[in-house]
Amino acid sequence: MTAPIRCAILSSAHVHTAAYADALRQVPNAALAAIWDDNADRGRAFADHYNVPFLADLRAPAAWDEFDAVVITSENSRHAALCLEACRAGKHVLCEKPLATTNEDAAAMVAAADTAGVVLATAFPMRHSLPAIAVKRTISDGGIGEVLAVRSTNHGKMPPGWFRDPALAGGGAVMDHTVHVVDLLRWYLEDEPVEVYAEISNGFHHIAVDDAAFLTITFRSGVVVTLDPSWSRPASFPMWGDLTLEIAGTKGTVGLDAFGQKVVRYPAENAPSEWLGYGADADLALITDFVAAVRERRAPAATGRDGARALAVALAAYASAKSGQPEVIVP
Amino acid sequence: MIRVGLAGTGSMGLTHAQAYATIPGVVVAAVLDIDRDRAVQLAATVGAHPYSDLDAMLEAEKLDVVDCCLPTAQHRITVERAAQYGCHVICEKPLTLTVADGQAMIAATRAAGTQLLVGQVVRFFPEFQRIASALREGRIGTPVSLTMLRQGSSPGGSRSWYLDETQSGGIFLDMMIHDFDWALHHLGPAERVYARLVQRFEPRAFTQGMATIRHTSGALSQITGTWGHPGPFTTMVELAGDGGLLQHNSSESTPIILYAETAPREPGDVPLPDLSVTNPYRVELAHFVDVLAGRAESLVRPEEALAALSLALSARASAATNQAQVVEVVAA
Ligand SMILES: NC(=O)c1ccc[n+]([C@@H]2O[C@H](COP(=O)([O-])OP(=O)(O)OC[C@H]3O[C@@H](n4cnc5c(N)ncnc54)[C@H](O)[C@@H]3O)[C@@H](O)[C@H]2O)c1
Repeated sequence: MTAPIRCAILSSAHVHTAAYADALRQVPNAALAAIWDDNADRGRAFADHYNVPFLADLRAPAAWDEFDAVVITSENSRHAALCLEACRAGKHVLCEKPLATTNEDAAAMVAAADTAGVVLATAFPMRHSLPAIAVKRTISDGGIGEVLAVRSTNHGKMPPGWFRDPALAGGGAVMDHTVHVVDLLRWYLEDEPVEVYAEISNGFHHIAVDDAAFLTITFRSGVVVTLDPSWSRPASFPMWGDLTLEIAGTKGTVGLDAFGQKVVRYPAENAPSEWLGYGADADLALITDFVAAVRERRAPAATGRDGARALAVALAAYASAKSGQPEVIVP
Repeated sequence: MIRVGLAGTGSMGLTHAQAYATIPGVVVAAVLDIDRDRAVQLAATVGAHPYSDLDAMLEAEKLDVVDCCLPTAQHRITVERAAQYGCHVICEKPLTLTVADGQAMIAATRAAGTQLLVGQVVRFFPEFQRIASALREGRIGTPVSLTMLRQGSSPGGSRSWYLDETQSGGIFLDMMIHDFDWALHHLGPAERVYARLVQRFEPRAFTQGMATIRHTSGALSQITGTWGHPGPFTTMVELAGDGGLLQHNSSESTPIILYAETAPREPGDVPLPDLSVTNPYRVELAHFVDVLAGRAESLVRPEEALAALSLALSARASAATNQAQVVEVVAA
């Protein structure tokens, strides 16, 4: 019997933290070992709930002895510093998306993991969504021929708190929602996005970051992708949002509604209806893959480099919105 | 009785002829087609005189209005000749192929003191009208973003002129003009547009135009048109505001569902939406008849059809250069 991979959660700032913690407790060869948070009240409450130790000070050398890997779910702009510290301590890293908020930070994270010889994974659960995997298979089996064009959405509701703070989030809807679709399409097409055009606005919620956007992304092969990453779903919308693709190829078209496995609930009281999803738990599959990658010393489904590539598209989109012209995606 | 000279007996000519038959106060008196047999056949069905020459029709018949359902490259000459004969004109979309042609057509009808009624039929689709009225009623607050999609099979066969950009203007002018017009009418003038075009002819014809528009109001639109969609004709519209969200998808709004062993569609049919419950072409033409009878103001002003054309041309230019284009305000 091998010892479990002990994982610490670094910050519970992100709304996905609980899902990863729950998954860590379900994955056979893994354990939730500790939680650190710069917000001590939030961190203690989280640690109490999961009945794990709360680490008040990451700088104490002994703090790092109790685990093998970390899951970073801090505010976006704080990913890099935490990741670099973890790499220095020789810990494997699963980092929430977007990987960072600048290309420089992302490159430093990738380099640090390479130097330390640790796994750096980006949390792209869509790679583990069963409907998304079925579409991958359809495309690679030649079911729609050569891909020509894609229409896509990753809509959401307005998220809470720091997501609306440009310094902590690094941007708004474009930063939050561009990367999932870009990562899926890089995986599907085995190709890189080279150019993006974006129009953005903050008309929905009149906040300090963008909440509305239309992107047009061109891949090296010439595939053109339109993407709506907006936080345009009103509070009454029956689900948190969506992720949809319509992929047209030379031989046919395939559509994906990644959260289309749902039951509709109409409450007796005068309240909005709800969509109750019944799709398989992609977060659980994501954590399972990360733990296996650590154990087997192999690359996870989505690496740090994948995270950096997707981030670069969001950053180029902001540059395009500023210049009013399509922008080349760097790096 | 308003006397119509119907020019063109193709997909739109037949659609209009069927609609006129159900509208009181109007009669198709003459039918024109360069293909004499087609003119004779439709004329016999509707009880009109057949023509294969426009001037001959205008000379011989005392027409109140010419309804131009000819390929787009014929629109300007047809409208100008009709105006010279003092006729009103109903003209299928797109108005024409260039801004200069459009300005000339508007000038010609203005000089003749006749109406120019452009068939921007999406204005008359009940689902689009319902969205428009909800917007007017303030049900979504201030509009922020508009997504529109229009997908159908690839026009081909005898309609291969559609795929020739010099004849139809290509997908931006021919198909997406519907959505450009609707977006401009409801969100106001466009400031700039960025567009891309994906087109293949082998192993099957596939064309997709994608345009992103910034309106001067700050609202954004993203419009997609597809020729060569393997599924049924589909439209989707989503209008999101700071006070709510409106959605319509033709594939999810199906008041009747029919499963039957029907004959396959004639290849090369022009893709059209399902008209079996409400026929928006009839709604449009009945409105135009009301306008001609002095009972209504036209919902589609010629300047708007020209603005939609100008936007479509800017989109096409953007796709050709891969640069966002400033959309010029054109004087009518
Ligand atoms: N509003 C809509 O939804 C809609 C739909 C389809 C087409 N349209 C527009 O309607 C117009 C006609 O399209 P269509 O699909 O009916 O085309 P079509 O090819 O089906 O029919 C055109 C007809 O015009 C005749 N013709 C061609 N050149 C002529 C000439 N010089 N003089 C006389 N007759 C001539 C042809 O013989 C044919 O019968 C186009 O401008 C098109 O863009 C609008």
